Amino acid sequence: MLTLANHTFPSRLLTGTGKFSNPSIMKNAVKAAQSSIVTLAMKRVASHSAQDETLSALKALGVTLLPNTSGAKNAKEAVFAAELAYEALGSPWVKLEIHPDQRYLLPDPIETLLAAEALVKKGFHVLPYCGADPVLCKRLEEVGCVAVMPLGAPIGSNQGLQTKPFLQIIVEQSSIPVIVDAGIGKPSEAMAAMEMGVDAVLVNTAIATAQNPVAMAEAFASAVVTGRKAFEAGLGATSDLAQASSPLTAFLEPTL
Amino acid sequence: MTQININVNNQPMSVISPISLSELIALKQLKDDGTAVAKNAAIISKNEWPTTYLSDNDTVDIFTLVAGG
Repeated sequence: MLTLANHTFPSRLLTGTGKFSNPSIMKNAVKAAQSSIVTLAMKRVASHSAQDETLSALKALGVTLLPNTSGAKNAKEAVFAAELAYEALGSPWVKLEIHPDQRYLLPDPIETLLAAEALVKKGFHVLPYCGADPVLCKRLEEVGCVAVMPLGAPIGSNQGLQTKPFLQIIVEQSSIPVIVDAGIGKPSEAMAAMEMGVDAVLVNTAIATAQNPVAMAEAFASAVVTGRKAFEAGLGATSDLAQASSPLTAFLEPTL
Repeated sequence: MTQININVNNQPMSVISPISLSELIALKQLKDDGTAVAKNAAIISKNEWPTTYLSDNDTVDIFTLVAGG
């Protein structure tokens, strides 16, 4: 169970809805992922034909919708986007993301912290996408975010846990849930993150762009469950030298 | 009845006044659910749409939720 802002969610795999070839495949993939929380974006739309079917497909699944502030380039725009999402959905959940640079889509730490503080004061449940910076994650926790979402690698890059040593520090220090967002490209990487003790992972591109998104969603779902089970079981210690698994008796050696 | 010019999502549009935000949303055939509206950069709650009327040169931005990560 994942607990965020006193709400419990059965799944530790959050799914993004972007990049799927159509809403029907997206819906089936989210179902196969067994996700409890699913992300969406806000967009200007001028006609019925431009209004996509994502929202109605997700409402049918009964998942918690987590709108993001993608497109915002500073704190002011992100707060505006969050308020629009609140008006559209009537829900206080928001994935705060502010990435002014289009090439690497890396989150702006200063604007993110400013926006997080403002949104918490307005009563939002804020989940900020952020760099894997342990100090920033503590600051985001202090201003009242319900979780932190440090990146494993740039959005959509499928490069995996490039930030692993820093994620480990964040997990060690954080008193709020840690959700690895961005960069996870394979189920083994999601599992590795869960084994480290992160509370959840968010996966979008790796599922949406797989040859078979529904099967990939299933693979991620079982990887996350297995990784969490391993973490809870307590991993054995690592060692530079061999540690014998069998008794080192001398019975095979010739007698003198 | 007078014709007014408004700007909807950065596109000029001529409409017959009086027209409320609710009527504009209906004219655009948009669903209320999952839609948010700002008039002159201020967000207008759904319950205020029927009583919010548009004036000449007003700017309206209509947003909806779409697929995203």
